[in-house]
Amino acid sequence: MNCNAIDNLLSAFLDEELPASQRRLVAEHLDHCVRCSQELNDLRRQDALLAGTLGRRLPVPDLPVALPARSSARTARRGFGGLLGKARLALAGAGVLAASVFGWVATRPPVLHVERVVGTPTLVSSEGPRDLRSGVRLAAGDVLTTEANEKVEVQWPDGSKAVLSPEGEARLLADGRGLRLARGRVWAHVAKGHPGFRVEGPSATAEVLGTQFVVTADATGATLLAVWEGRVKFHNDRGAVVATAWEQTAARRSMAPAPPTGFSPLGPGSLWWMD
Amino acid sequence: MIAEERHLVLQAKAGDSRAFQALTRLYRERVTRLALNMVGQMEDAQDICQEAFLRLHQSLASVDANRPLGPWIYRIATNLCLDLLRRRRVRPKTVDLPEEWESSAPDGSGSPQKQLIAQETHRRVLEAIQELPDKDRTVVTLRYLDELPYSEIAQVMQTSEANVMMRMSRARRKLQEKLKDLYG
Repeated sequence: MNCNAIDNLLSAFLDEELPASQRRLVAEHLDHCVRCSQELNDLRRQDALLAGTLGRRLPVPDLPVALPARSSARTARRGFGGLLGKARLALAGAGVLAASVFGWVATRPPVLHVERVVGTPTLVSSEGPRDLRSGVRLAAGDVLTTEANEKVEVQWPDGSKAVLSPEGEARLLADGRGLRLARGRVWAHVAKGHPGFRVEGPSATAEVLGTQFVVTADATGATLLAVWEGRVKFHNDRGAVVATAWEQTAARRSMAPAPPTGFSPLGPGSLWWMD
Repeated sequence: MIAEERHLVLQAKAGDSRAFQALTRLYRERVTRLALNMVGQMEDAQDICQEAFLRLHQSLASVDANRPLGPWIYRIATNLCLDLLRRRRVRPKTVDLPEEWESSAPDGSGSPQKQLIAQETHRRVLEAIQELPDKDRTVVTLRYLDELPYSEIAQVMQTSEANVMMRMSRARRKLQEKLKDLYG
């Protein structure tokens, strides 16, 4: 057998899925072929990487499957179509990521840049980790992280901005339309003319009408909203509320958002993004 | 495990809802992971898992308790994933990892920076998987779901083992182009 023929069999050889006769032929070839042996070693390393990723167990909550009282195939299929076809306006599922900040519908990713940093936040890009500095241009998929006492302000071409709090972590979405917040807080100021800006949290969505607001993904999976300007619709699959300036609300999974209550905009640390 | 599963299927077929829920617990993690690796979005994966179990519930009468449930439920979930992928006009370019994955390295150890790198690696692998043709991705996903042998993958996909072998080899070659810098 030549190398080309062996190459097609190496994957199944690795998986121990070849019949004995073919397995023996491949093994004999590998005994004297450095190139194919190297190829097999690469496949082994790839196999370990894929097993560690695709085989990694998911944190899935132990919740009963919701069954219809008297289900029929027709109603169930209709329900499924609704589930998958719905707009991403609510994150009802447990275990979904922390908040995402989405911007407007763009045909191509806008060029974002770091407007300001406090301390030396870290940027993890495809090139590896490095310190974040003012003026750095950001690409889709970049991850911003801040330690205690560090912050980073990201600016969009239209002047919209977002500030990531200390001890925060956010990733730029692939289409450049916002950030996905994994921990900490994001303060967002959306420029006028971009309706549809919204913040998706683990347990509710804040939908913005041109305003200033803060969304917090707390450690318990709750999503907290504080509105500084304008009006924000805050909703999940259990209900919706509208919060106006100087009102705050919160939502947990499987519970409707709480009625908005007033807060003092001048409380200690309330203007953290301006420090 | 097989005997326990058979018992649960029989009980569920007889209308025991607790037995049905116990069956879902046996497969919930794997079905959700299968769907996440296929469609790349956690919320969609959870919807697909829920729908797969609904369909199982509706089809209990026709389920053969003497055969493993895995291939049946994986086939339903796989078909739901492929349906969704066909309906999507634009495939998401990013994957959504579960929250707990975002905040820890796979082994739960390491410095915050190492954890971030591990997350990035994880994300890159999943994004590379998302770029495979649907059926190649199905083969890879099923293989790494639980080290399923080619014969079971073929059963789930209703194809031949030779076809599984060919797709697996082709997918690995493509992944090598995209991921080699992570392990080369």
